[in-house]
Amino acid sequence: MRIVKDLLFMFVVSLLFAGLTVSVNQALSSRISLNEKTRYTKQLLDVLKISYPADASPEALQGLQKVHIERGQINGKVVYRGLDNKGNPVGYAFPIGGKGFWGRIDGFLSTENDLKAIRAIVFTSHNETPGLGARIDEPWFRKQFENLQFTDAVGPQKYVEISKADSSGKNKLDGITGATMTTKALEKIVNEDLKSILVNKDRIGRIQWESPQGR
Amino acid sequence: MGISARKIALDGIWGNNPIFRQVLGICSTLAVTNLVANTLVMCIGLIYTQAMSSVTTSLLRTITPYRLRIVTSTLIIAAYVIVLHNVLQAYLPEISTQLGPYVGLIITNCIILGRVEAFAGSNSPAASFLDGVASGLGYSFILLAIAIVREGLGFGTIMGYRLPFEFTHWTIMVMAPGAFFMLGIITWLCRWIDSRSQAAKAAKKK
Repeated sequence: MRIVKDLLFMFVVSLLFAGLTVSVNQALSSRISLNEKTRYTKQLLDVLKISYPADASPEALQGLQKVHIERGQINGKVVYRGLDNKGNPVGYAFPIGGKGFWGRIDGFLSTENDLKAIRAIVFTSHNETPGLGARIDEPWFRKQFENLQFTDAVGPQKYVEISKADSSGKNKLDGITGATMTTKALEKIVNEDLKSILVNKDRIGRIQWESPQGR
Repeated sequence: MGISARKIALDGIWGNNPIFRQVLGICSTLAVTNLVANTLVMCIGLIYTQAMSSVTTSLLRTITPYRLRIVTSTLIIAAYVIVLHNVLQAYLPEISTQLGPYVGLIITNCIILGRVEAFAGSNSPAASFLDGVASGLGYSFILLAIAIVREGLGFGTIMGYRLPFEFTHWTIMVMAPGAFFMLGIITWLCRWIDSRSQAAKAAKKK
């Protein structure tokens, strides 16, 4: 008899709290997915250096994305192309990613139209230490990548070097103090992805571009 | 009700402080205290979860079968944390991304289960609510003290604002060892102050 009573109690309590979490989740899910979509759009616009008002509404951002960003595929991987106000291409954005120090680092890297120089870099998600590795998100760090020519390797399999000891010289970037492991991991990610962009260079000209529907 | 509200509040914040007396919730004390802003959100999250879970556990205490009390408490705590996580994602998306897994980890914070089990299970809802808030505040003030020293010495900033003087930053303070040093120092300091005031009280009685 006791076991039946216990089971019944657990069943009712579980039902009650599952109901609570499910209803809160239901009520907020459209807002949460809109937030995620807006974040994604902003990051794409940022990496392609297409300006937008800081207080742009989610709807306005979706509109901008439809006008300024086209989507294509190489080898099943997504590529984006940015357009200026007249519809002329300004550059390409490639998803990049790999193993960081604590977890995966993911983001976008954009190149100029000629596929010879980096346009910008942004990170969409990472689990690096707040205040140390997480500083890869800071503008001063990301700005260092802009305009770097990556047609010639500067070392074995290296187009970009990040080091805190010596940041003078071609394609050498200033690392983050206290975040050696994160910068090393990031250097590997960027170099591998730059290499695959160069390998696929000829295919990019043959992409069929389409205006993205939302994400 | 045998215990006065004043005693519950003082116990949670000082006399029976979760960090330096009960030594609970140390994992988050070490993990989130290198930036004051993150610490603050974590503290607010903890106070909310503790207060809500304590009240709910207390309300259900007369009908909860004794051997099911831990399962029930865990379920209650998890539900409130999931609600908090969703609300942060919906209304404060940036802070939610920054805190990453820490909000979810409130579920495993030992202070919550400790207070629910030790206090809410055998006291009235109002007393449990007060105990929850007081324990949360006791946790928060120690965490904020640690975070201010760590961010100040490690980055030369407080809440992201630069300190008015320049010095060589102690990078070790924002890494794991800095958290251990600060926790040790604060625990010693608080216990030393506490033992001195106890001794003073005892001397007065004579």
